[in-house]
Amino acid sequence: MKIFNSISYYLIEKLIVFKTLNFKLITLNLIVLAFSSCTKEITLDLKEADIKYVMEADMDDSLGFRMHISLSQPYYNDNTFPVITDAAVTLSDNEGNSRNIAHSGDGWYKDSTFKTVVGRTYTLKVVGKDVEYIASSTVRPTIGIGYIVAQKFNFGGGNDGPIRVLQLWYQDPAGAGDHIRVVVNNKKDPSSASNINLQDDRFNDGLVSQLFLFSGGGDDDGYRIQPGDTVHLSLQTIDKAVYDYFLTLDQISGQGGGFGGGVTPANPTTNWSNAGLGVFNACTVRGRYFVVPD
Amino acid sequence: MKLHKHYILSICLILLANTVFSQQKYTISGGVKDAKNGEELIGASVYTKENLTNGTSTNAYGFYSLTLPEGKHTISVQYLGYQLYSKEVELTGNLKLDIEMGSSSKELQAIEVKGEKDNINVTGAQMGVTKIDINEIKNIPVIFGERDVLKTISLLPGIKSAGEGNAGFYVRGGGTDQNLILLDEAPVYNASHLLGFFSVFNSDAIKDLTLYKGNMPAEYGGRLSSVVDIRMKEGSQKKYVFTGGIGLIASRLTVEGPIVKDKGSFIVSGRRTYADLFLKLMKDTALKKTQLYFYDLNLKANYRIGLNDRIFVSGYFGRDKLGLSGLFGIDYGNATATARWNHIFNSRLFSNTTFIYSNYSYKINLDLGGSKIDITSKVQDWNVKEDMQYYLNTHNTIKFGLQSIYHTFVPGVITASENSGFNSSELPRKYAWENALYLQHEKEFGNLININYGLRVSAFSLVGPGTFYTFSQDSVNQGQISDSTVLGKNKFLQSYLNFEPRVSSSFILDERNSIKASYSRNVQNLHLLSNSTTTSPTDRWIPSSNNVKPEIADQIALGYFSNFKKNMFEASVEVYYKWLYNQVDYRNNAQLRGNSFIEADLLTGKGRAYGAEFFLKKKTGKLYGWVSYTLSRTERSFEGIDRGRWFAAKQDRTHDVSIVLMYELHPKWVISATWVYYTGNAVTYPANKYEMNGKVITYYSERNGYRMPAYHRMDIGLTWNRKMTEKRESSWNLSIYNVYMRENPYIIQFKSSGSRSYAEQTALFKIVPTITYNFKF
Repeated sequence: MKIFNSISYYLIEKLIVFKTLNFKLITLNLIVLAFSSCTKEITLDLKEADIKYVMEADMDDSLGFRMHISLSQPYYNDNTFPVITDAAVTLSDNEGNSRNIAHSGDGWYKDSTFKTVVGRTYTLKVVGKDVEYIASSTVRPTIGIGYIVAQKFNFGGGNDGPIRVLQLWYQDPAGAGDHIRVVVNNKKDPSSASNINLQDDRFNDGLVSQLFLFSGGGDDDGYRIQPGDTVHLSLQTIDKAVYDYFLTLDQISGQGGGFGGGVTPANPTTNWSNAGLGVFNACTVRGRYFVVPD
Repeated sequence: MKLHKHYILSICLILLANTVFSQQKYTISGGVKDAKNGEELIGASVYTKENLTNGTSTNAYGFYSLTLPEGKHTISVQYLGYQLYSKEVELTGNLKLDIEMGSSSKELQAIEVKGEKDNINVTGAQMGVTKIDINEIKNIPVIFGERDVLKTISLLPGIKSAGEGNAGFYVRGGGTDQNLILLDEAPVYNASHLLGFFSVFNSDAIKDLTLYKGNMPAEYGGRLSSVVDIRMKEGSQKKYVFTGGIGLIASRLTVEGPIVKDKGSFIVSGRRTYADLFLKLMKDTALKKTQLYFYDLNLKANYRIGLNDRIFVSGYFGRDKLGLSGLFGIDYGNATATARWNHIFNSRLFSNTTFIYSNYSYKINLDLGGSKIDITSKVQDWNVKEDMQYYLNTHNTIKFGLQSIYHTFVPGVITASENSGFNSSELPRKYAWENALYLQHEKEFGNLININYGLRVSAFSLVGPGTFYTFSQDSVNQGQISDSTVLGKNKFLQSYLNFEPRVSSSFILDERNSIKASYSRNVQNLHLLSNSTTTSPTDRWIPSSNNVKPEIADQIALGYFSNFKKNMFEASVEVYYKWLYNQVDYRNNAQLRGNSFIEADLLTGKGRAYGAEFFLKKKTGKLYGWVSYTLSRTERSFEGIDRGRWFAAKQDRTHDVSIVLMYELHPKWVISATWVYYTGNAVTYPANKYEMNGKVITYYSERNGYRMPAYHRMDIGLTWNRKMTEKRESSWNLSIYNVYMRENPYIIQFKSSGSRSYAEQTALFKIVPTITYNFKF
């Protein structure tokens, strides 16, 4: 019987990879079980590339500006990433406002008073030792949260009862070109935070629209919400370049080498010049707490 | 243009040179069939014993025509696996002679002195061609008990399997979409079932498979790398026959018989997998509700009207159904229909008129918390073809014809239920009209040189209605819309006219040895966009357009062919070099699904492929089989990828070895084994890593700069022919796939846990034993 298990799980896994539209189906834990006997760690001889700045910069109308700068590392090094504490950071907008942002500890550069204004374009410049990176991002009109539902699904592993998936409803403004990103934080298990829930409005322009929020952001084996959990949702209205960045980041998360070695993985498209890593996201954000009902 | 004019002129000159006759000649023509069931034999050698160079071979409908001087001749016909046929005839006028051939066992073939004409592989002009005899491959071990012609051809030199769980194959460095797969002349757009584990071809319904590795004759066109011409059986003309097989996950049944004895026959063949039935037995409720099966149906009928006309109708219908707990489902498949009319104008002019319909479609259903969404897509062809064969004389055959195809592409229709949060919408449809004309001449110069040359002229037009965008190609605005055109119905947007010269020739050193050389140009106007390695049902076909130019390939090949030990052994070495132009790839991170402006994400580049293919086959005796080895390189270069650096294409495999051996232990017992080895696919691995939002992200540098570990595997099979009588046949087949349990990586994933990062490989099948029961009565 094992072989039938393997085949069916394999196929289900393939189905999940389709990621039709922007849906992402929950991967079954069972897949992992079925393959466990055929999975093993291997050591590869990997060439190293140049070390680059990794700049995660966020700016919104609530928390202002914050950026973390670290360095990329060779693949087989430990997962400790040195931070940059001495970069010269300048943030400006297209209305003539400009500020230098100082390092505030542990690789963070913050200014909670520099908040975004809809319609403005912000430019961020990072000058380090022998390197300079520039990125721009434009703030789109705000999209608010409509309401939140916890949908129950009887996916596989049905013996554990239904799986709950959060579903966010919102009004998409008329006219194509809106992009949203939703960040989900569960108080009970902060490590299950999901950062990459994305939707554009190619298929739902002007509608009361829905978006399923999967926990774990690409790693679906993690914690799943339970009745009684309190989760926090932040809905960011982002620009196209930022959307493309997260979409392409999602595609390589937890992947590599590809199925049969063929889906050619690539680095996410970024708005940083000089092929800097990370993204500069200037957006507006709306947040809400939600208690998962039984 | 000037060059082409010269080319056409020279064809005319060579034709004229043959019109001088010195002696009264007559034509003998007819059909060659299997005596047992009346199936026409394709490619049987027909010649005279007195002069071996007076020979021809039967066409795809079993027809031959031989023009000989008046007088006595011994007509001989030879076909692998059949007893030599000989008949003395006195030629005093045109003669019609239908020939029926009896089959012979493998052992008999070894003892029998083979006729001298069994060396068509050496003398014929055509190179880079492979024929698969369905009977010959029946003992090869298979996975899940399903014989699969597409898997079998990947055991031949120059043809590489696209990997486990993938029905695709690569020919001489071409992509999986550069193979033209024809089932009774109808193109099959997606040749795989169950996402690649099986091909759509039910071997019980197939008579013959011919594969051309890029040097295809001018009568074929439309794809760069190869043509796989699959012909369905006609059905027994003599009696009703039931054939079937019961396997662990699939079963099949074929019924064939005469409509009117020796005048017409039919065949119906069906197959279904039932892996899902086993799922129903499981405790897990979600798995119980999982749908997972495919079925296919092959139908064919033919009828002879008078002596000179014959009508064939054939069809294929196959569907895959995959579903997950009623939440997600995909249903996809091909449907093809072919109607053909063979007409013999006279003993030397044979005509075939074909009408073809082909459709590939899929439908995805999503039901997420009451929101229902359907997505449908299809590619549909209406196709008409006229092929003429003129047997000028023993040494000259002329083929000419035309073809016209109307393509409809429906990339995606989205139907969303009310309040689902999605708009019902449609991605723009595309229409295209493809036309081709060809002329081809097969000529023998004494018994020294055989040449087969021709020209195919193909035209492709993208037609309205629709709005068409032009995307900027310059480096600054790359992918931005630079212009748009609105076109009405049947208005032409963009047309491409291409000349595709083809020539193939053999220089016969002696009866056992020859050297062959060929050149061919192929043009492809349909392009498959796929962002997964494995064949996915949602891969998208797009036509050539104002943004996408036709793909072009030029191939030269040189080969040495030798038969020895009375044609018991067949050996060949072929080298090739292929230039590929206007190859399509997409920008990094392109969105292929649901994208109206897909062409904006495409890149155009070039490719080159070269290699050497070695083949040794033992055809007769108790031990038979073959060894094939290919040494090759396949590279691509795109302006937008690594600044145009040449990189190894994913199908680049330095070494590729296949060994296939079968041994008759006893007339009733056959043991078989296959072993394959190939260099791992070229892949992109990470160079560095970095941290984002507390997650470790891999960083990639050069495209396809690494190799997967080498793939190798051995399968063994045992066939017990329990009963072998005229009336009844039955056999048991035991196959063990991957017998030494090699863990070939199917996927390599890069993971992180705690303070370390590591690579993890997953192998699909460690070992798969299967038992199948086959019967025939």
